[in-house]
Amino acid sequence: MSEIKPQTQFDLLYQQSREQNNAQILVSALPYAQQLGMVVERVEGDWQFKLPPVKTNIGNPSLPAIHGGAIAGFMSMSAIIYLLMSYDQKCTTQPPKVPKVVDFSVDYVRACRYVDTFATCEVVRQGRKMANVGVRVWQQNSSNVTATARAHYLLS
Amino acid sequence: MSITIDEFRQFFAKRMENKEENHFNLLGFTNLQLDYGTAKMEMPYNELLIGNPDTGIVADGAMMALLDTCCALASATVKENISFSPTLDLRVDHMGLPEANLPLICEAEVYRHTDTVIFTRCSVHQGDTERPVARALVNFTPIDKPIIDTSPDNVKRVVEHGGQA
Repeated sequence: MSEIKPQTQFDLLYQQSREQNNAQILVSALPYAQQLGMVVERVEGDWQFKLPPVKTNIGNPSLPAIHGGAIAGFMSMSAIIYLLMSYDQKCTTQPPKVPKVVDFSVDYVRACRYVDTFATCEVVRQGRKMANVGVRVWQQNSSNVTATARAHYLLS
Repeated sequence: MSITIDEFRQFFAKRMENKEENHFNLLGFTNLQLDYGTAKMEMPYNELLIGNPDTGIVADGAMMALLDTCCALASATVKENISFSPTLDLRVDHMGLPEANLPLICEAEVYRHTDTVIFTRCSVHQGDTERPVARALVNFTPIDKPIIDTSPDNVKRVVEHGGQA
């Protein structure tokens, strides 16, 4: 790890997040993740992402419900942070960059109510250039799935 | 009885104008153009939405909110009574990196609709329609009880007096 030289402010925060095994540091380094109000926790040995109710994420004030775009954004940011936290640092001497989305597909299976929303990620395949990630979003309990997504990210 | 496309346009414009804290006002959509089966709108560059601090490029999530909203507007206009339907699914291909500091422009159209599904597609560009940065397909499922009240009475109230949609 000492061989990796941080070049930007983001590199520096990334290094800290890995050294301290604290993904929340990455949230503070990514303005959109911070704007959504994302919280990252370590649950049962894996990263779990939380989107607490925040007014600026409301899409339909009369229900109220969270905007589908905010949910999709939460899912994509979760996948990005998940990939950044799981890079094998032994394989590189360059600090990794924020993965770039290539394609993203989300299914909305239930209305996303204005309550705590959780996401878990699974890296289906990580190659040298590309990663395939699945994201699952739920509310109240983990069997109450509100959305699922799959995506490809370019790693560089 | 349905509202007209003009009333719907005014209704959404009013909704974008109010100062209520919600996702629409965070994203600050502008330059809405709306007709039967099509919608076009812009999302100005906003530092709060940056997804990559090294490049300053806006997060793909913010772009998904733009194209979901734009396609939802187009889908609303093809119903017998103009009203929003919930998003069933959304698929985006990113063909290139957008430029930071420029607005993202979304153009959406309904290409088929049945009683159960409204199929829309859109492209996102930054001025050159021949080189979109993203393309997406977004499907909606019409439901009996609209998710936002677009009845003539409520639309009239919002357009005349503002306030919550």
